Amino acid sequence: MAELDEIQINEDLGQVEYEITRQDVERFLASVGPYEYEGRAETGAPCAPPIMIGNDYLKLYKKKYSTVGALHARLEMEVFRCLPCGQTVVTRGKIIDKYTKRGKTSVVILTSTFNQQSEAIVNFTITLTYVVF
Amino acid sequence: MAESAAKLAVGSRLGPERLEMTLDKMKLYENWPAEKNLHCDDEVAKSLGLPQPICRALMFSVAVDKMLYRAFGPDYLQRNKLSLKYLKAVFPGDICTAHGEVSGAEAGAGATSYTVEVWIENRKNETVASGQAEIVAAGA
Repeated sequence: MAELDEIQINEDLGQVEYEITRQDVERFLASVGPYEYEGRAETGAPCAPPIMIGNDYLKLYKKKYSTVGALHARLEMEVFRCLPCGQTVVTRGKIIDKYTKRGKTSVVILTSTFNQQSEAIVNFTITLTYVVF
Repeated sequence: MAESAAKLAVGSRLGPERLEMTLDKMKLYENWPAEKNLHCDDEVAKSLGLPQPICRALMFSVAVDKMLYRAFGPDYLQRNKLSLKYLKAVFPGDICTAHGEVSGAEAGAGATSYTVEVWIENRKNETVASGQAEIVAAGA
């Protein structure tokens, strides 16, 4: 596992490709339920709540860096279109900032998720702050 | 289901939307036991000096998501921005309640752009997260 000192601003975290399965959506809705959710795209196709994939950054960031001792400090979510159930999406990630305040290091990660037509679905900007428990 | 966004004038209140945090729900959210981390596993949490697992911020943020979906319906899914700053930790047994207040409503061509101040309180009425949302809803 790489050290925090090695993190570079603008560092590419690569990408992950996976299917938004009905089981994943049902598990998410049950975990935060009751959620009277009936998301549909303009075409009538079923959608999942975009916030469901807000943790995609972990799939990319944890390949190289530890999140032990890190807590969320900030979240920004920008939704461009619905998250399609039953389709494969691609999430790409990069480090967009890193700073230290009062002895605590924060890392800012941007993820962008695209559908099969390469259209943007949602961007997440996550600020992780490493704290000492 | 969704309220009519057309009725939301500046000053309109949204919520409250409650989300009870239990360890069972946290385990389901984190896909425990395949995934074991400080957000769902007692042993991992204790190894880090925490008395119990700590709720993942993205999970309790869903309280705001549900509130905005209830208010704006499908429009909320198609185009929105949400920004939250986290202020306090949330643990199992807590109840997170999302609140909102419409602070802006600008009518455009066939759509209205709403700005909503949002916050989440714990069962002690302490604010655990606060921020802002922007939603573009059909109808001017």
